[in-house]
Formats: sequence, structure tokens, C-alpha cells
Amino acid sequence: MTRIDVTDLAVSVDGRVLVTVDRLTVEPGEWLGLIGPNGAGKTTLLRAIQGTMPHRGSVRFDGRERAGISRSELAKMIASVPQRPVVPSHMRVADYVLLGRTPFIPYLGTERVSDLSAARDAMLELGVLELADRRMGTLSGGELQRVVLARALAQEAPVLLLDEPTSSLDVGHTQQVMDLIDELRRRRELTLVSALHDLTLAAQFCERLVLVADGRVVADGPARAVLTEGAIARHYGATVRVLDDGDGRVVVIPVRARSSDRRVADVEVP
Amino acid sequence: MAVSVPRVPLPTRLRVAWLLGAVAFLVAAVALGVAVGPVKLAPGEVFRSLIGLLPGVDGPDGLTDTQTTILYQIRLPRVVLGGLVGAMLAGAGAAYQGVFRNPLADPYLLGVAAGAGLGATLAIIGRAAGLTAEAVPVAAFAGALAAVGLTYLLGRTVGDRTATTLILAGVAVASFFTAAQTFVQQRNADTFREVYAWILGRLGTTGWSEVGTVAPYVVVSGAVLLAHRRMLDVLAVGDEEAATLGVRVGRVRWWVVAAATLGTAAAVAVSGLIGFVGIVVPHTVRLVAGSSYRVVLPLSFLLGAGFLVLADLAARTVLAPSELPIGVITAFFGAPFFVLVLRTSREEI
Repeated sequence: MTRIDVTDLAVSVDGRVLVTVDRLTVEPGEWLGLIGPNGAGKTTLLRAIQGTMPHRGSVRFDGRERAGISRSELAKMIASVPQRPVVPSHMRVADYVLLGRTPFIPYLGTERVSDLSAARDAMLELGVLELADRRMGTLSGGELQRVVLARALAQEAPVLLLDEPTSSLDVGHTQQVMDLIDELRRRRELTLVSALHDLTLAAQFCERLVLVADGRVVADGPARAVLTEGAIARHYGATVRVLDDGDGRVVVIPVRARSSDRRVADVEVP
Repeated sequence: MAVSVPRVPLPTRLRVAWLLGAVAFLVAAVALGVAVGPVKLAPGEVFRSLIGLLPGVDGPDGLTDTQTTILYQIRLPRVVLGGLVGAMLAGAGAAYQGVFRNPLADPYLLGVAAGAGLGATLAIIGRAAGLTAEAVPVAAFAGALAAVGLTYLLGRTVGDRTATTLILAGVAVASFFTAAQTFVQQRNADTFREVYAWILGRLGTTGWSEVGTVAPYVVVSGAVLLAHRRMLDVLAVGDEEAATLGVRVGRVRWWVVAAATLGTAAAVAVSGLIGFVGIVVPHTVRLVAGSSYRVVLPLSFLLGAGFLVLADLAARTVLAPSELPIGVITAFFGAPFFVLVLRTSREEI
């Protein structure tokens, strides 16, 4: 299990600061949910952590500074799934999942037996082994999401970064994929950071939530503490009720604004 | 109900049947290429003569001395040259398409054609000033490498170093070199025919010297490209995702472009500009045998070789005794054939 420490991080593009984080820690084996309105900086923060976005400040994995880790070694430590992965529509599913083994294969080499079995294990866990000979372009949304996750899992990295893993799925497939992710996290002892736009989903699955707004962390803690009606009105400009689901977790329900709520939102949303 | 589930997900491999089919096509093309011409050579006798070259095999063949000379000094060098150039153009085209994730990429994308054109034009004009005919391929080679080198420098200094930046730099460099070539040519209108003939491409040979010139480049470039076949599949997920898989994308692109460019420049130097091969052959392979570069690259080399040997055969027989430019043949027969493959295939490009 791997711990992530982010300190004094700042991402700027063309002189404009997109994200600043003074201090953010992800505990080993934890599922941290990044929430926040569109454009708040969730994706930018994830990319900065994985090292595909230039930034100032420090990102450490189990105390090791990321800047000092080579690309291929880093790929053995962090696997990530972007919100909209590039899908080579003619590639066979087996070939696609095996791409996850790239950090373990010599530059000009080919897959060894250990790579094939790692890909098989990942595909079995996600129930996509029987899709091995299908073309990527023929998969349904739910199948595609599981295949993309299988590629990330085949990387056997202790850290998994997911950007909106369920954004294109219906409610049934969303629950199925989220349950699967949680199961994998426990079984493989993964440290998991995921950006999520569905607040109820985030509250139901993540142990800890970090609310990002305007490029800053504005709340950090368990769902019950972060997801308050006031905070959501302030940062999302939304009128919601936060209710107890009777199971110890909370659900967030959007409701039509009454005139008094609307005025609050008007005043406070930049 | 037992559902058949594969035990392990096997990567795409080049099927033996495909490989044998491609080799058979190439062998047939070569046999036709050496047999057909103003002097007919029986393929059986040619085969016996070739076998006789092997150490320990000693059998008389039915060829006369004249036929033997035609076979070894005229037909065979030309067929081998056609095969090498065709293999190189098709393989380099496939590699460019992979490394730029662009189905329209061809080996001339980054300025090879324009640079070689300018170099060849200068050398042809320079003959009045005492340059020999041997200077033309050397100048074409140098011009091609200069243009792509300039494209790379521009792509690195301007913008964000992405594949798109490189392609756009190539467009700028190619336009500039073409303009320079047109200007130089207009100032020396008497060489127009010769320059035009060079640009259209031809596989004229004088014995084995051209083969000897281009073969080392094709072998080295082909080996480097084939070695990168899995890497080209990784690049299919885009630069950023490939980077998160531990790949240094810029380095892969540099190696592939360098190898493909060197080979293409050598091919262009001895054959002029032969269009279409670098696009049509790889896409035909994709449509028939799938899109993994483990399949596309080796099959493109083999089929490209066979295709150009056949195109050259058509170029020198359709209007015999005069010759058609081979570039005209590759497009004239290649385009309808490609449309046919597109129509009958279920795959998309």
C-alpha cells in the first residue's frame, strides 16, 4: 500500500494559476474522492499527481519524490484511467489490456508469460476475459469501461487514479463498476484517488472527500462533513437536500430552488 | 452450458497463413517480373539458373548466353530494385501512419519528396557545370534528409512538440522546398523534361549498382521499424496515455521517423517519387489482416515489394517498347484496386 503526499503544489498554464494545493495526503489503501464543480481543477490535480502536467511543488509516493522516478518505474507505481480514454477502435481487447504491461516489457521486447497471466488476472477480475478477441470499437459503454480498467489493473501499480470512471454509464452499470472498483481496492490493497461529479456516488463509496473549487481545496474530510447544503450551494450554485440514507451514509438530492435559496446562490456564486 | 473462455489473452501475432500468402505473392511477382519482357525467359529455366548459383548445386539450365546476360544484368537487378523500393515505401508509410496516428500520413509527409525534388533538380541543372549523372541520387538523398531535418528542428523549437506540430512544420518546409524547386526549374527551362521525368519516378537500372546503393538502407531501416512494431501499437492510445504507460513518446517517434526517413530518402534517390505505395499497401493490409503493427509492418514490406515489382512490369509492357512512369501505374491501377478493397471490407480505416 502506498501513501501519497502533495505539498505546495501549483499548476499554472500561460501564467494563469489553475490549481494550488498547500497540503494533501492520501493514506495507504484509502479511497479518496475529488469533488467540485466543472472546471474546478479536479482533472488538472490528477494529472499533476501522475506527472503528465508540469507543476511546482512536490508529489511523493511513500516518501519518494516523484520527480526523481523514471517514466517506466513510475508506470509501475501509478496506473490511471482518463475521463475520455483514447480508444483505438480496431485494436483487439486482448492487445489493449496487454498495453498495461508496457512498463514491464523491454523497449524492443514482447510479452512474456508473466505479462499474459497478469493481463488474464485483470480481465478475469473485471469479467472481460471472454471479450479478448473483440474489437475495442464494438464494445458497449459498460464493457469499454471495464476493459479500460482491466488495462490499468494489468499495470499492477499500487496507486490507481480514476478521472470520472462512470461518467458515461447508466445507473446500473455505474453501481456495478463502483462496486467492482471498491472490491479491487480491498483485494489488491490499492490507494485510490478518483474525480467524481456525482455527489451521492462519492458519498456512498469514498472514505474521504476533498472538495475542490476555483483551484483550491475548500473542504476535506468524511462525506458527512464535506457535503453540506451550504457548501454545495456556495460552490456548485445548486440547491440540494443532504439526507441520511438510513445506512450511515448520506445522499445528495437536487431540489428545485425556492426563491430564498436562489437568492443565496445568486449572491455567493462567483 | 460451458462458454469457451480463453486461458490467457494472447497478443495479436502474424499468422503463418498470412505470411506464406504474402511471400507467395512476392515470389509470383518476381517470377513474372523476370520472365516477361521483350525477350521471353521461361520461368522454369530462370529458376534452374538461380538454383545453380547455390554452392553444391550444379545443373545445366536451358538459357543461352544472351538470355543469361539479360537475366542477371537487366531483369533481375530491376526487379530486385523494385522490390526494395516498394518494400521501403510501404513499410515507411505504415510506420508514419502509426507514429502520427494519421491514416493519411505517407513517407513523404515531413518533406522527403520536396527536399529530394530540389536536390535532384539542382544536380540535373548542375550537369551543365560539369556534375556527373551520379550526382543526382546523392543530391536527392541529401535534399530529402535536409528537409526532414529542418522539419524536426522547427517542430522542436516551435510549439508544444506534439505530432501535429511536427506535421505542420513538415507542411511549411515542403512548401518552401517546392517553391525553391519550382523557381530553380523555371530559371532553367531546358532541363524541364528531365526534371519532370525524375519526379514521376522510374526504376531504370545500370546493372546492380543502384541495388547496392539502396539495399543497406532498406535493411537497416526495415530492421529498426520492425523492432518498433509493439511500440507503434502502444502509441495508438495517444501521447499522454502512452506516457503514463512508461513510454518516452518523443524518443520512440524520433527513432521511427529517423529510420523511415533514411530508408525513404535512399529509395527516392534511386527511383524518384513514386506515390501511393506508402498509403495503399499498409491500408490494404489493415483491411484484410487487422490493424496491429505486428501484422501491418511485416506484411507491408512483403506486399509493397510485390506490388511495385508488378507495377514496374506494367510500366514497361503496357506501351512497349516505350515506358510509362511507374508513378502513373501505381496510382492508375492502385486506386481502383484500393476502392475495391474498401468496398468489400467490413473494417474501417
